[in-house]
Amino acid sequence: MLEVKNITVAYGSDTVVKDVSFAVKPGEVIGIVGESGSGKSTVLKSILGLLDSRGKVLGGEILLNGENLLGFTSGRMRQIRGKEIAMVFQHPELSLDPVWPVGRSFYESIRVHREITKKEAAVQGRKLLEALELGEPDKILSSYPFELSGGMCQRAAIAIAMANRPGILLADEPTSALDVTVQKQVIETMMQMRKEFSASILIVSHNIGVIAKMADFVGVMRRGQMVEWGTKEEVLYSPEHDYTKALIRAVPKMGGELPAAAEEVGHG
Amino acid sequence: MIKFLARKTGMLILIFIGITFLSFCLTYLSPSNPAEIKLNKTGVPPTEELLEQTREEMGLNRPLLVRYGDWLFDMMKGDMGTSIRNGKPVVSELKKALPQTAALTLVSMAAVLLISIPFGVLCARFKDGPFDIAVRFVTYLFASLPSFFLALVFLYLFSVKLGWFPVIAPKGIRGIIMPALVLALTLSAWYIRQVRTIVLDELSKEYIAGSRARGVPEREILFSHVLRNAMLPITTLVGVSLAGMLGGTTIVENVFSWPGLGQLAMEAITARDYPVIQGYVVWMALIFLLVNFLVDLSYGWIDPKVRR
Repeated sequence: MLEVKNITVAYGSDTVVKDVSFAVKPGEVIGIVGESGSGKSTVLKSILGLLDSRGKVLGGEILLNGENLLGFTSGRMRQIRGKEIAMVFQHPELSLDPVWPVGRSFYESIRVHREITKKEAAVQGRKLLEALELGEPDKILSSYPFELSGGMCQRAAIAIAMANRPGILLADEPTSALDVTVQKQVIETMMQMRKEFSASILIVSHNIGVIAKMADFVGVMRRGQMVEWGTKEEVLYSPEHDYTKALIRAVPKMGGELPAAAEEVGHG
Repeated sequence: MIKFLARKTGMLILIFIGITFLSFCLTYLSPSNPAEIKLNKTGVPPTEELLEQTREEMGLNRPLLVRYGDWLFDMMKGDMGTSIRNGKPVVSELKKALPQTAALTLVSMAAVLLISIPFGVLCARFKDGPFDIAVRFVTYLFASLPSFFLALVFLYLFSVKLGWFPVIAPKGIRGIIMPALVLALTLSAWYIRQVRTIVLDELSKEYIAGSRARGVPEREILFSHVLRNAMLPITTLVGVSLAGMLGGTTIVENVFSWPGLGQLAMEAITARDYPVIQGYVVWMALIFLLVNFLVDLSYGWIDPKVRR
């Protein structure tokens, strides 16, 4: 279980996350919505300790199964990344090494956490891709990121992130750079992973449709603060905060009802 | 790949003809008279009649294109004419200077890479730290010093004061150290800054954050990801430098009396020794084309986007 308790994060003198708290319980999908610059991606980066050199967590705790990650050494933090908590990014083809075939990245992400031969890694990669029904697993593993379509690459990146069976998957705008038609596939891939490995997912997006489709609990962030939190039904169907109402109103093709909008994944 | 090679080769031939023809024209347009130089060398006073006769003998009275065609044809057979200055075949003059310059180039370039890659990477890794600031200061200093100045300082220090090396460089390992060091130091100053920028650029890319998120240790990120990706821009730099250096590093070769191409070219230009100048230009053109060709080929090897 991952608990974020009252964290405050600043870049230099600029406080971008203020006193944010929430919990990710096993098997749950948590969605955080908010416009760009609201601090939601910063929350994800803080959890993995991946803030750039100017960023600093000023206060609060990030507890993984009761242990505060903020107190971990960089060496210990490295063992958490990719093994206990994995992450997928907005641009899959940029988040993988451009001169490495996908299979090599897959092998690397296992190898840095436990001993494994290339062969074994290839077998596991193939199995995982087969389970995800991604077409020709061998071809995907031997392809370079630029050779795959955006959707295919993101699904491969999700498979790489799940290579070590982490309990928690962080997803930073995983569908925002993709075509509407493939967004659905990526969402399905993530949901399949959750089912297969009973992982919990923390997804951050400005796309309410994606959140509505996936999340059990929803948080709404604005200017670094969590302005609303609750179950998906509470937040999306009977929002209390004006900002949440405005966000939901901004989803196009609503037809006055959210369920319709929720089905229209990708309009955001 | 065959199509790529065929197109490249076709381009090479065209560019080669263009460069050599242009340089042929330039020497043709130059005001000094080769026939006169030749006569002066032999000590014969150049009368009008004798000049005309010599011009005829040297083929200087024929049309430009014919002369260029002849020269090109002879060159294909390995005959670049004879030096006006000392009557030796141009090819043998070039052959004598070439290994000297090639050795100097390879030794200095190896030193440049050995110095600049670790320093550049460390500067980028510890950006704005004391190491980075100190190295940047020193590289700034060396980059702004002209190479002949550094060469003179070295001569004074290591040859005159300490007597470690002779003032006039002998051939071989003992002679190559000082000129190579001067070349390597001035070039490294520039390379360290370039490598630093390239590595910083790579470090800011998203796949680095991706690798960190997968738990890859920093050391591995630097060596197996960043350096691997930095190979492409670094190769381009090395290609440009190699092409330039293989043409002879005139100043350093002259200061250290290193009998390479730079010195040969310098002497040929001073003496208006057209066949040698022409031969030198051909070599320069060839080396530029060849190095660029090799760099292009290496892209195919380094960058999967080019390969596929």
